[in-house]
Amino acid sequence: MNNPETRIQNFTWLLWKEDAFIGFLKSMAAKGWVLCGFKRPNLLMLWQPYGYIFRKDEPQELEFRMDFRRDKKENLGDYIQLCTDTGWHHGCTFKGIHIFYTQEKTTVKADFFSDDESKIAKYKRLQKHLLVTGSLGILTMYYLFFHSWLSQHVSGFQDNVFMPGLIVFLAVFFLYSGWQFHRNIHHLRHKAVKKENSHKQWSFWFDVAIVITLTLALIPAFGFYLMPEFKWRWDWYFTQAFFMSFWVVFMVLTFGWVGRRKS
Amino acid sequence: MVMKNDPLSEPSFYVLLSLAEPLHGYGIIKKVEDLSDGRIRLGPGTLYGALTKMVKMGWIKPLPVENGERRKAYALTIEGAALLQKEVSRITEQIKHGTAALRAWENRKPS
Repeated sequence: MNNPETRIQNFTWLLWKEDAFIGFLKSMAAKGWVLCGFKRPNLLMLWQPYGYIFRKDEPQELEFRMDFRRDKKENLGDYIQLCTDTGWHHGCTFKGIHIFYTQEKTTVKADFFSDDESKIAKYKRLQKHLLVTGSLGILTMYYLFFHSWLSQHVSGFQDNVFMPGLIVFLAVFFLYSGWQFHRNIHHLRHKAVKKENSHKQWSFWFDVAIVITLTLALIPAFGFYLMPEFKWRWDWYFTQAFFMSFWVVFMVLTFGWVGRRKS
Repeated sequence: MVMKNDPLSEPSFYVLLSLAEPLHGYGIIKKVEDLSDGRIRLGPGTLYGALTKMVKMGWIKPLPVENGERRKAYALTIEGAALLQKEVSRITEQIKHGTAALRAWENRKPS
């Protein structure tokens, strides 16, 4: 590279909203920052910047596409080679999410996915992956919080609404994601018979509001089920909000990080 | 793009028949584009998904990769050839019926 300056910037996005993410990448390219990789977070040093790596280049208009594919490394090499051959340059890969970009109008016209079935297949892969990992995570947490040695012997595990609250939150979040993927798929299947822009993505804050409302509404139900000796009290919500605010601060600190680095 | 019991979609039919001789991914895209006079242009995401599914179904198989080569070549299997044969006879029958119907229409009595 002529200009070796790079920059790391994280961007938090909900997986079914790839348009928002692609818009972010396009705006970075318009400012002259071209995606060139992903830096994994160092879990012991979360204050260090991590996220998408951009290299300094001319300001340019790029088109981005996202794919989701988890496969063996040798197969992925073949896949990335195929994309490069057809003019889609490899931007980065992180957790099975591959980002490709191109400048050529002819490449954009042929497109990365040439039919709707393969777009639907991508959403189905994402949906399946998310629901499988989500339910495994929730089962692990359920065991850890309510049936393990920890839950019997550490007092914080017994009289605290945070544990059922966290489980309910994650369950609501994963089911909500699954439903959003279903909406995307439904739109792709039926867009021929519907009006052109009948499918509007909801705004980020609308999604957040729905997930939080459902969580708070379902906590008492799950609380009774998981901790029968507990009496439902209004201050459950305050406890939950108190712990959740720590969670939010943690998320902002880690995902909202904007870092610069010269290499 | 690939369903188990349905008739093959046109793009997957072309992918399958282009693998009569071993080809790698980009070669398939070029060949399908040539054969269909540029009408069918496969995107890499679509093609790779189709290839993975066809390998899983046993219609095609990846050939061992030589050292230093990143592009994997694929070839038709016996099952794939049988499926292609089935599809070709299905289409031939369609052509036969279609032609017969058209001929009957041409020779209709003026009313």
